[in-house]
Amino acid sequence: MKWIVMIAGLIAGFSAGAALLLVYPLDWLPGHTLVQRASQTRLSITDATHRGIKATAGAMLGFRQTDGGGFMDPALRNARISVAVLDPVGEAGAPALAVKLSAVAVDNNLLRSRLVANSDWNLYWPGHGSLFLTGIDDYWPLLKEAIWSALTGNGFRVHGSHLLTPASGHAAAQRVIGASGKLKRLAGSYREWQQYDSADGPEGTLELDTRIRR
Amino acid sequence: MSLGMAWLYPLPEQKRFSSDIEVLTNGGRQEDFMIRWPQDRVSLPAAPERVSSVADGSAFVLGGSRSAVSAELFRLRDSAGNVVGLASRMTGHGAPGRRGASSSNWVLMIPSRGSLLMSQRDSADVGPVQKGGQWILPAMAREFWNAGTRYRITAGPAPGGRGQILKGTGEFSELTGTYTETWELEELKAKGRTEGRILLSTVTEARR
Repeated sequence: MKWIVMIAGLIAGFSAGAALLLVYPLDWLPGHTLVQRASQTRLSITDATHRGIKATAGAMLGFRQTDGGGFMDPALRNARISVAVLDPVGEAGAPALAVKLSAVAVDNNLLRSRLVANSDWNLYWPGHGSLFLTGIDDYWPLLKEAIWSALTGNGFRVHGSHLLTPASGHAAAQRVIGASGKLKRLAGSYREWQQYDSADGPEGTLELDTRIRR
Repeated sequence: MSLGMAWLYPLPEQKRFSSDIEVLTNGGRQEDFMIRWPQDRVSLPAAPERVSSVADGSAFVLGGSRSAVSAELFRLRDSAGNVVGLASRMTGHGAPGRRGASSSNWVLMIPSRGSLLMSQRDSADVGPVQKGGQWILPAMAREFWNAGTRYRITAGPAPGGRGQILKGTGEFSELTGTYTETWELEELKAKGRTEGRILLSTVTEARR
């Protein structure tokens, strides 16, 4: 009798586990994202034009470094707006028009190594659809490099390509949100690389890791 | 010494105006924003290559083979008229060709508070059109206002023909909701120029 109960229990447990795997109740919760297809897209940021504070550590510290004249409105003195064309990197594809709005974060704190800007992107591919990106740009590594550059006699500046997206901690906050058209159901995360002192090349790169939201 | 400097250093602060929020009877909160055109349009010093600049450098059009998209940049005001942030409006079609109404996205960024990312189906095609070889935005043309001086642009996708707030950040991060966009013409000027305002009325509640 004991053996029959044990075998029946095993069969019942196995069946319940298999049923849970098949149905997977988390998929039925509102807002849950089911990965049906994942993809990575790299977009070069070219021909950007800006107004407001510069995208530099100095501007985040409050030095009056501005592009395009800056803003006189008190609420906009530490904000920036950019328009750019985004082209796929290494493959043929239609360009997108993009707007980026960013502002120095109100909770920056040098004692906590926090020097960030809050950023929102809107990307629109004509005849295809649009995406929002929202996250933060981390200027703390740029500040460290600029200070090192100054200490070694090369001026308070940075060179080359830098990851603006936080390397850890806040990285999960870099969200991709589908907005319209064929891209409406996309979700995911993104990283932004900023190219400093680029003469002719792209001013940066966006890397989107996306999947289709159920 | 370094710690002392880091503690004392005066980091930039964001100017904040008191928020004018109305608590609604049936739940939720309403907050209205306003944009005055043309004075609240934000001009940029140049247009990116391949992009056409319209409205004195405050709107940009990227034309594809069968479709086009526009980006308009604005200062954002609260209901009392204070400039509290920046806004962008991108308009286009989600499918090739011009079939019916356009769709628009708004980003409202208030540096002292956070951002709202909003999306809507428009009540008409208000995307960029080519006229005489040049791109124009329909609302900037005199003919657009022949039938009236007030248009509700939002037509969905949320119930009641309202647009959807897809995401909030900062102090809006725990909120979800809907909004409407309404254009009001105030004056027709010489040479077909127009003056008016865009009203953005948001209704939000705590995300469940």
